[in-house]
Formats: sequence, structure tokens, C-alpha cells
Amino acid sequence: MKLYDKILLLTTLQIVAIFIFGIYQIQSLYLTQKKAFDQKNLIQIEMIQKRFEEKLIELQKTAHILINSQEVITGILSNDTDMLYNWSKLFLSSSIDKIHFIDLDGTVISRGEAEFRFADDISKQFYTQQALLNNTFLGIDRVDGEECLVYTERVKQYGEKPIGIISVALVIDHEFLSSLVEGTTMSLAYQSEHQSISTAKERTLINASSLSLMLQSGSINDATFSIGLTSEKELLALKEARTNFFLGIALALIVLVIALHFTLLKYLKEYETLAQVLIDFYEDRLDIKDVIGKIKLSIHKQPTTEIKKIAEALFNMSQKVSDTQNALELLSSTDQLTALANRRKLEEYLEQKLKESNRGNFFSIVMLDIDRFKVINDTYGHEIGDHVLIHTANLMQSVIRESDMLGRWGGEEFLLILPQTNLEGALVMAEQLRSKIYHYQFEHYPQRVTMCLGVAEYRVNDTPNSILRRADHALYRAKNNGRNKVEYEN
Amino acid sequence: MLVKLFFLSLFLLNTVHAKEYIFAIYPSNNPTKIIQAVTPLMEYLSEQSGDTFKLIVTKDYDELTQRIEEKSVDFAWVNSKNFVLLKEKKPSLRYLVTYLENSKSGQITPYYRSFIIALKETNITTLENAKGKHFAFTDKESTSGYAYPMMIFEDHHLNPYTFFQKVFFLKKHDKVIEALINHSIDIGAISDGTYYSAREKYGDKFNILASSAPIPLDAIVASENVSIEESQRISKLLENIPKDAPSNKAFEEHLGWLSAGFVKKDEHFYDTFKKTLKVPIYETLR
Repeated sequence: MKLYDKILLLTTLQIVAIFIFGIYQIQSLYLTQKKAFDQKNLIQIEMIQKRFEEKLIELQKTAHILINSQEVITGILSNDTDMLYNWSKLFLSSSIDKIHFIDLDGTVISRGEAEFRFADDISKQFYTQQALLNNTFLGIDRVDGEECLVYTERVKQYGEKPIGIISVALVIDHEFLSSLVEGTTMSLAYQSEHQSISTAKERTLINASSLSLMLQSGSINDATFSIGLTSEKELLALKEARTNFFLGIALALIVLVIALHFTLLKYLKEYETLAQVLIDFYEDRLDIKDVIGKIKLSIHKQPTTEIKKIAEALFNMSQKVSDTQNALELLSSTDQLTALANRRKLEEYLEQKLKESNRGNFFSIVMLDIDRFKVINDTYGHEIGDHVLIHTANLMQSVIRESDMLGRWGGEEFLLILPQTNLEGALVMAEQLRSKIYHYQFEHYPQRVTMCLGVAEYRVNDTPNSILRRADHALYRAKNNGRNKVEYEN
Repeated sequence: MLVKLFFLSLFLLNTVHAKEYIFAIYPSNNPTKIIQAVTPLMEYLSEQSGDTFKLIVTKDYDELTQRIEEKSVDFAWVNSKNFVLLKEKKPSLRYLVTYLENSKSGQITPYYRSFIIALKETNITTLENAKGKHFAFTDKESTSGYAYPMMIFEDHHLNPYTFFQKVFFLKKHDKVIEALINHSIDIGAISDGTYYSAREKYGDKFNILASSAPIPLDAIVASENVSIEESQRISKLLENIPKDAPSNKAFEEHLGWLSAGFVKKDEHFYDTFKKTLKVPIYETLR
């Protein structure tokens, strides 16, 4: 795995781990908040239930206070509308909308909420009948055309003798529902066969549950109080916050990974390029010169200081290796005396030319040998012999073309390989070389130096040995024919 | 100098003889209103008599009666019923004058009447065809709202508690009108003043089914503390109150009473009221 991939993977894994932890924390927080939200709703529902029960208790309590007043009893007995009105209006409040005193015939003696409205017959009303039959009634019924929570009880003189009925009622209207849910986030809806009211604008309540009513069944049986949330805004806000956190984290993760990717790309690419150059060099895909070239290129790309330093160090190292290699190569392919290619180098070149000839190229070779060189050594010493060899090589080198390869074959023998040269061309070249040497006056050797030259042209299916043998035969023929001659193969 | 001394002596003598009288009145209305309405009368009497008249408003009828009996007040404004009852109890109580009303019928009278009325739209024109209807008195303590209507029923040989389907007590005369207008009751007993006010307010919407005998208006009495001469002197002063006196205006302004001052009647003027006290009470505890 690449360094880039490793760093990216490891860093990404760590970031992802941190973010997963973050998500876990947010989710935990959300669940805690959700629990608190549910708990709050539960408490609110209980509170509203309690308020509802308090309203019922208030109705009963008020009725009992009035029932136990001697003035009220006297008022009922004497149909004293005014006294009953004055008493009852003292008890009208936000929890009590209607207080009615009714005689045993079901005729209203007084209404606390309407001073001049009385004397009507309500004996057929369910709550009146219930009070007359069962002493009390606590339930929902229509009182003066309005649906009410109504409590009725028989009023008794001396605690025994029924003399009338008191009904205390609270109108089930929007105001009533609002008073129950005031200060909460809940909404309350009332549904009966006659009306449908709600504290919420929306018709449906979310997570609605029914208030438990401890009421006697009355004329309005299907009445229900539903309690619930108007909207889940709070919860939705919580969910939205969580989603936003998640999205934020995901976005941050993506941005971080992309940023990491580009940072790694920026800083590791140069390292990677350098590393790749070294790897390619190690795996022989590049030689030292290519390595130097590529490093040079990377230095010119204005890398970071660190990379530049590393690249320069590598460049210097490569340069040294290259120099050393060149020196070694030169040493291994050069004849030390004449500075011409040595025999190994010549053989390699010949092999190369033979391979190229298979693809249609052609060449010729010239085998050269200094005549009676042993005599020079014997007569003038090795130093002069070496002098002759060196100058002969230099002279020949000056004559041949740049593309030609001249090397010392061994002793006083040389081999000249002439690419793209046929036999005629090779003979011309050979003759030029013979002539040049023959006419040259050596500085430290007074005699003329002559050479025999055997020329051979490439033939199909030639091997190094076959062509060398033909050139060698030509050379011997030149030797045998009196030396200082150029001969060619038959 | 001698003349000056003579007048000073006269002034001092007068000052020594000037008395301070307590004038009590029952709380027929808000005490503050009563004080505002009656204070000019006290000022008039103080000014005219040279004595000082201090006004007190009692808590109720009982306190007024008790104070007269205890002689802790010198003069008192009492209603007809109280006068009759007090006079029976304390014959020494001195009658001074009777209140005069400039009634809405246009007459200046020392009496008023009680009417039994129904809404015209109900087509009840006589007491007899109101059987089985809803009826309302004002208060059992009321003269025109209960006592005299009961005399009317007696004259018609009717027991309202059995003749009507229901009988209610609404305390105030105005409430009887409002209950009629709201159709809570079919007929009711009220004072003639209330009737005339209702006509002004609602128009000619009511039938008068029956009218009572004249009901003497309130009286001013003096306790035994006050001598006969003093009583007569004060009685004269009260009789002579001019029509446009501040006291009459104050009554109208603060209590809505169209006062025409006071008149001295014979004590027997209140005898008709005695009859109402003898009316059998038909009410039973049902």
C-alpha cells in the first residue's frame, strides 16, 4: 500500500472514529432530551388532568358552601330571587359560570349569572332529573343551551327535607379549555355530538390522549376531552438539531478527508515521485542518468524546502554514482594504452552490429596489424613500441568517421568496425589508414611504420567469428603478400 | 356702649339656650347618598331654628327604632310602617310632618300607590285572568311592594301563593320591571313611581291590573326629648320649606326623589297603613 493510502486510511479511520463518538454523544443527548420532552409532556398532561379535577372540586365545593348557607335555604323556601342572586353572584368566577337555584318542580328561582332571567321550567333537563332522583349529578349536560360541566345537588332543610336543587356549572368553551392548558405546551380539544372546540388551530392533536373523566354518564354521552400536542415543533427542532449535527459531522468528515487527500497529495506526491524514481532505479526501469534527469526535473518544479533538500542530496548522490559508473564503464571498455575501445568493447559492438544487420543494416570490418612490431619492441624498447602504438591509434582515430568504432584487438592488432559501409567503402577507408600511417613520421621512431589490413563485409548469417575469420584471412593474405597492404575477403 | 353690651348679652343668652339635636334617618339607600341628600335639610333647620341639627344614618330600621326608644335621637325620619309600629309601641312619639312628593303623575301628594302590573303583550288585563302565572313581589318588608299589594289581593279574595303558579321576591322595584321585560315573570307589584319611571324608559308597555289605596309617605317624628313647643316650632319650619330650597334639590340630585317639601297631616292619615298590618299572611312554607 502506498504511503499516501496508508496515511489517508489511518487518518480517516481516526477522524471517523472521533466523529462516530461525536454522533454517539449527539444521539445520547438527543435521547436524553427526547426523554425529558416526553417526561415534560407527561407532567403537563397530569397537570391539566389535575386542573380539570380541581374545576370539578371547585364546582362541588361552591355548591356545598351555598347549600349550607341558611340564607340560601331561606331564599329557596321563600322564592327570594334577589337574595339567591346576591349570594350566588359572589361565587361566580373563572371556574364557575352558572349558579342556578331550582325548586322541586324544576322551576328556576334564580340565576347567579342572569339577574332577571328566572322562573323557567327546566324539570326536563337531565341534570335536574338526576339530582331529583339520585341526590347529585356530576357530568356534562346542556345548561341554558350551553354544554357545561355541571354539578347538581338537592338542597335540604335541616339536612333532611329536600326543598330545591342547586346547579353549579362551568361552560365548556374555548376559554375553559385554555384555562386548563394555560402555561403548558399542550392543547385540549372537546368533542361532543353538538360541538367541537379546541385550543389548537389545527384540528388534529399529535399524540393525543383522553382526559380521564370521573363524571356520571349524562345526556351527552359521547363527549370526550382529548389532550395532545398541537405541533411537535419542539421535538422537530430537536430532531432537526440532531440531523443538522449529523449532516455537519458528515460534511466536516468529507471536507476533512478531501482536505487530507489534497494535503497528502501536495506534500506526499513529491516524496512519492522521488521514491518512485528510486524504486524504478532499483527495479532497473531507470538507469542512473534517467534518475538524475528526473530528480533534476523535480528540483525545477519548485518543491517544498524539505523535498528540495532531499532531491538535491539524491541528485548529488546519483551524480556521484553516475560518475563512478562512467569511470568504471570507461575503464572496462577502454584500452589503457591507446585509449581506444578494448577487445571486450569491440566484441560487444560487433555483436550489436550483427543484430542490427538482421534488421537490414550492413557494415564492414577491417582487421589491422602493425607490421613487424616485435622488431620495434626488440630494437627500440617497449617504450618506443608503446609510443608507436599510441600514435598509430591516434592517427587512425583522426581518420575514421565518428560513427566508426576502432579498438585495440590485442598486442599490435586493431579492429575497425564501419557501420553502413560496404566492402568498397571499407577498402577506401582501409587504404586511407594504411597510407596515413605509412606517411607519418613518428617523433621517437625513425623508421616507417606499415600496416596490413584485412577487410571483410557483412554477410547474411554471419557470426562474430565468421566475419572476424574472413577479415583475419584477408589480413594474413596481406602479410603473406609482402605487408603494407590492404586485402579483402574472397 | 350700653347698646353693644345689650346685644352681646342677647347673643350669649341665645347661645346658652341653643340646643344640639340628633336627627336620625334609616338607610333607604347608600348611606353616603343619604348624607349628601339630607345634609342641606339639616343646614336649613340649624339655620332657621338657631339650634344645631346633627345627622346620623342608622344601620337599619331596628337600630332606628331602638334609638328612638332609647331616646338617643331627638328627631327621626321613619317610613310609614315604622311610624305605625313605633306609635303603637310608644304613644308619646310626636308626629311632625309627612314627606311631600312631586309625583311623576304630576300631582304633589303626601302619599303614593302600589300597582300590580303586567306586560301588555301578555294580554293579561285583570288580576283574575292571571291565574297560574308567575308573580313577583319586591320584599316582604316593602310597603308598596308587598303590604299594599297583599291588601289588593285580599280585596279580590285571592291568595297569591296559591293563585299564581310561582311567587318570587325580587327585593327592588326596578327588578320587578326588568323581570317583566325579560319575561321571567308575568305580573308584579311595584310602586307607582317605579311604574312611571318604567313607562319613561320602556314606553307604554304595561297594563295596570290593580291599584292600591293611597300609601302615606315617610314621616318625621320627634322623641320625648323634644318639648311640644320645640316640636311644633320645628314642624312649622319643615312645613315652610320653599319648593326651590336646596334641601329639595339635594333629594332629587342624590336620591332621585322629586321632593315638594313636607306637609303636616293628621296622625290618622297613617291609619290606612294599620290595616295592611292586619292583612293575613297567606304564605305557607311549601
